[in-house]
Amino acid sequence: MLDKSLLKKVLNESLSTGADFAEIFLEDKVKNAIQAEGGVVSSSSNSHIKGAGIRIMLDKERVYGYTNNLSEESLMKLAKSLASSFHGETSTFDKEFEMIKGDKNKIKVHPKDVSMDQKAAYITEAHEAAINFDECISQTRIMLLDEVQDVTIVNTDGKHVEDSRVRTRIFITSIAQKDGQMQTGSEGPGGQIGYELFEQINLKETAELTARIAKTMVEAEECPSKEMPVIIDNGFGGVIFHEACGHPLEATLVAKGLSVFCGKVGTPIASELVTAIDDGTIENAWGSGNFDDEGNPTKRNVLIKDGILQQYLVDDFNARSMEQDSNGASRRQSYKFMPTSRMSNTFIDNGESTFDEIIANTEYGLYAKKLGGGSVNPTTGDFNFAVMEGYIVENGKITKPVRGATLVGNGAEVLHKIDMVGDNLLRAQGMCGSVSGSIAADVGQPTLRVSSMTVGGRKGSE
Amino acid sequence: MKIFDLAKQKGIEDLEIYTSNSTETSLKTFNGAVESYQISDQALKSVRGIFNGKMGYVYTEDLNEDENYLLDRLIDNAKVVASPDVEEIFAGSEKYPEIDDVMKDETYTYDDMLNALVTLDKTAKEYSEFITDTNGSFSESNTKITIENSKGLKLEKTDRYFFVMGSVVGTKEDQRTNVWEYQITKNFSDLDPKKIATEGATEAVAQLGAEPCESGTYPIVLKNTAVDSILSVLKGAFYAESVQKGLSPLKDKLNTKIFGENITLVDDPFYKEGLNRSTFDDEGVATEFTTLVENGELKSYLYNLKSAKKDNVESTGNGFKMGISGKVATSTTNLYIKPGEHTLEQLFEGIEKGVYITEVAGTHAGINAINGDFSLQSQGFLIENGKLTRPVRLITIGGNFFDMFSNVGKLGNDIKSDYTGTGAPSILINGLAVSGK
Repeated sequence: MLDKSLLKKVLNESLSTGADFAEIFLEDKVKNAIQAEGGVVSSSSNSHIKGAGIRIMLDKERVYGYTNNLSEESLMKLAKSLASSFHGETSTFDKEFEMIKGDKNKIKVHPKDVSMDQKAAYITEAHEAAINFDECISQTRIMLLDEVQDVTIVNTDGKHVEDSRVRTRIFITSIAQKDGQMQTGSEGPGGQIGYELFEQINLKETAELTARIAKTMVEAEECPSKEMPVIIDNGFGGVIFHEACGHPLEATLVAKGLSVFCGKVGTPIASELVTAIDDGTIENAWGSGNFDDEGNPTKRNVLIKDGILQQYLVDDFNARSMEQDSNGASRRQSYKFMPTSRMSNTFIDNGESTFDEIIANTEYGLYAKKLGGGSVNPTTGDFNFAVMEGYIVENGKITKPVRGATLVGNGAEVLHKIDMVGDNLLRAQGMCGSVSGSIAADVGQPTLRVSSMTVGGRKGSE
Repeated sequence: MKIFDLAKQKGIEDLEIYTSNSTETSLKTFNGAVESYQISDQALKSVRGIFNGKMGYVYTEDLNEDENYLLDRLIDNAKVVASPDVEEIFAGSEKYPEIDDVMKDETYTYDDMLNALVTLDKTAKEYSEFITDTNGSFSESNTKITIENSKGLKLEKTDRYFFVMGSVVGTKEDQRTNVWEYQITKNFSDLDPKKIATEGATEAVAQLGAEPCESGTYPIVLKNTAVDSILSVLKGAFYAESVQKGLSPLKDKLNTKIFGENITLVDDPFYKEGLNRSTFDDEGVATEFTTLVENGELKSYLYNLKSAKKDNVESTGNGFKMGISGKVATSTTNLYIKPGEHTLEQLFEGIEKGVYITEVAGTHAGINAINGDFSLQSQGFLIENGKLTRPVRLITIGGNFFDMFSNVGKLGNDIKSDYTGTGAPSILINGLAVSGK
């Protein structure tokens, strides 16, 4: 993207006041989004994101600046202004860059080779499948997204990494209406993949699934509110682990001593049925990358093994104040964000129970088949999640659908209450928001049961 | 501009260039010590235009972007649009309102920024020995927006804000509480880090020892900021765009009662204390004061040019982009519920057993934005015989937004706005389902 001698010059300017490390992150990203309502395209946009972020560190302090003006004058001015935060002796950088390029995630059908008409055809197909599923489906909203993010990372360790991340995703929402009620169902499959995504997923079935969820929920009764066992299904159900346990395992919080899991490596933090992994190396997965955003290779990191905490997710900056080195977990939304430790594809690994066993062994409880979004305060671990599709389980059988349920709990407590783990691991795609912006991340788990959780509904306690 | 001629040659009927130039400075501290310092400088450009009657959008951060490339992408995007909606590039309003400039000419230094956050940390820790950690954050942002189009419209506005946030952590034995308080102002001198720290520390200490209360239906007092959180997710119900798409329960409800008598809701771009003061929207339409609900009766929806044309009315000047690279949709400026006369203590009065909710979480997932149903993780305090007795956490409150505002018992006098510019007073609701133990 930029000339090597200019990059060196900017790095040297960054070191002019005694910093011990400097890095330049260059980004060039093209993003396309098509949006349709009722199968009719209502808008389409093309965005070109391009700029540079400069990060300078001295011991445990850091400064960061970014601009989309990539002229020499602008970059040198930014570096100089950042360097003025430090007041030491000038150091210089004269290492040779050794360029490495990522090539693990192969792309077969590049977004730039897909016509607008073809994209519109995928939208039409999804809409038709959903709208014709049942007469209660009144509306659909579909968004088709693709992006190609090219990054160059150079730093004063001599690192020069180039990576290209191609992502494609379709997001389908069906809306059902009946007797004055309106409910939605959605799915959003995607990957670090091109348009071959549509060879891998069954678009019609995916769209029908959103319609089925909306229809089931519009016909459901309100969920009762009380404490009860909760069976969380595979796939997007993993969002609870992601929010309530994954975030507190990020160095962002651990380095400050603010995580409930501080100082717990080697000790049990979960039921012994729980093994949890963060794996940025899964080929073509949504949260994967060849390199992280500090230019370190991504890794498969076992976070919890049989309930025992193994390690945290660590980036280069936080590694400076921790007893653990970076494990390739540093990410950022764009050059507009300073990188920090984040999750990639995070999931609870398979256990031994079957789905049928879990249901059959539950006398009364909530079966949360599909979760919606939620939030967590990582400092306290308190979390909440909306149940998009839920059912009551009575005497070992799924009996009736319920809507409007919210699960609340505390991450550290819930991990110990997992008493059955299924054998049907599945991952699902999401966008994860945190200090370094909104990034693509997979969540996942097999079906599992939490022995007791607070379920909030609108019906009141029975 | 040359690009307008090039666009004409390519068959683009009308073209608009929207730019945003901004600088931002931010400082973060942990326990009063600098954690990071950040500066930025951005010049962003969003271009949209009409080709064969359809609107196409392109956005670029590349200062050297080839105009041919840009306009060709715009045409690609316009071509795929199939919606029959009529969109337009606006020639301009007859006149534009003027607002008093509330921004003072001020200078401050890096040390002033840092001092504000050090004060925040010190104040919180002095409040109680149980306050163990603080995260502080300061930022200043300056933005200049320009709109120029092929119909000859040329507009410019500048805005600035200061933001101070304190995240206060309370610790007692195994339990940890965490409370966020913030302030957004137009002037550096209006920032009050001591107040933020004291409010955060008070709540963080009071919440120590909290546990869920018994499930049941209770009278609820919702703190102003909790009302803001719920209202800001449901304000979309008032957008004509949502009504027209069948995504709002307010269809055909104009001039009918949708809330109780005591509720009046307005959108006020000139609100003195407002965060989103503005004289024109992102389509270049002059902004105006709109009464949405008057004494419980729905009086108007909020319009942009497209939705106004559909309903055969004028735009209310609420056509705002969803982020600079996004398309023009609808948004509020300063939306607020007019306050009542009761103090917070008066709202508690006469409640034998109820809950004072100080914070709701997960509003984007826990609220059904289409029908107003909600079930939200909450924390606060138990009210017994009109007094706060003990802290509660990890409970949910469940109900429906429209039912709730039809049954507001008392309205507080303590209006407060959140970071989206949505404001409300605290309210007493006669009964909501609470799920706890």
